[in-house]
Amino acid sequence: MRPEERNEEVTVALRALARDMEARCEAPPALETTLREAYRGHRRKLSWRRPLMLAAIAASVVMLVASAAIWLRRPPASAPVAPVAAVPPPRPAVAPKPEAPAAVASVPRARRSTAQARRARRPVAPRRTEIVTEFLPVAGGDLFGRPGRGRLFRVRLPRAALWTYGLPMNVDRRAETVTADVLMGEDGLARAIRFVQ
Amino acid sequence: MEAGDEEAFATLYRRRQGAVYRFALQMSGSPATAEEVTQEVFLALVETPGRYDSARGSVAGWLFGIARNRVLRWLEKDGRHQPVEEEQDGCGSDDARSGSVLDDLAERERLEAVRQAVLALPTHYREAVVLCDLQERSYEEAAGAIGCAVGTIRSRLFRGRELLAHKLRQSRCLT
Repeated sequence: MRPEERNEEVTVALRALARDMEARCEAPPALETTLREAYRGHRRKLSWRRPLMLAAIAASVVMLVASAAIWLRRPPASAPVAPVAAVPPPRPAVAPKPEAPAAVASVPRARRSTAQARRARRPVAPRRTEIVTEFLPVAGGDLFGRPGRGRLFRVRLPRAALWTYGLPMNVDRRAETVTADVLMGEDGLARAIRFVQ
Repeated sequence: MEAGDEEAFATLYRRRQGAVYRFALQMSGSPATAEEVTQEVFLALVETPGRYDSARGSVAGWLFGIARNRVLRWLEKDGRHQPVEEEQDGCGSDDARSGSVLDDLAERERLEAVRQAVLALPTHYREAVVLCDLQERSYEEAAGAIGCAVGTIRSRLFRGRELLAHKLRQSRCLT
């Protein structure tokens, strides 16, 4: 027998089976009832879930608006008192740190971007504004006489030091310390000082 | 249906349940499994109707796809499909029988032999034969439900029919 004839015979047999099953085989009627119940239950669940989601979204929006309002109503930061000027916190060294451009260039772009991303993810401490006095010449030091590079050191001094430089001091707090930046010359001698609040 | 029209769901169910049930029955050979699969297919339709994408094919193709996955899971789990009983008698019997009752009985046995031969096919041939020959789906629809190329369906169908012819000749249902 040729393959076409064989194929034809199989097709006829399969068609007969298909017709027979189509006439006899269907899902039991009870299944429709079960599925209708499931459909209703699902719709009920959805109808309960949708308002809940809307309420959650509304609550989030209200909270966002309230936070924005509170933030906008914050009192402004207190203004510095003369002769004190507000400046960003000083860097520990005045001399610029030598850079290593070759090393940076040798780092693959992907690694660099990963490091940048990591830095970006790091929590950033809120920047505080410091109030500092002008630089005051240290006794025996020459602030303007010897230009050149210097280094700035942050130190803590007894509060009485304010008195020494002619600044007002609360006598009751003289036992406490006060923060100051000392400008050291290249020769290692203190040139000037400023007090930090 | 997505808007909550229960009658639309019922209409769709009535129109498609027979084909899905028969597909599951022809693939598994078990009425209980066929019922379970049909229920799961339509429950999936109830719960995630948005998953049907009309751009990717017909509703029937999508339902057959779900049914196929459920049947395959059942076959993997239970690992049973009914083997062809080699000693089928009555199918193509040479006995001189007469009368409509005997003819009817002979036809029933012949159909049962064909059903058993289909069940004995390897799964990937069986699903091609069931979808294209028994469910009379187009090659494209069958390919969509199975998730393969139309050419694959053609070759599986050809090979499946060859195997069926061989089995039916053995059971003397074919000449």
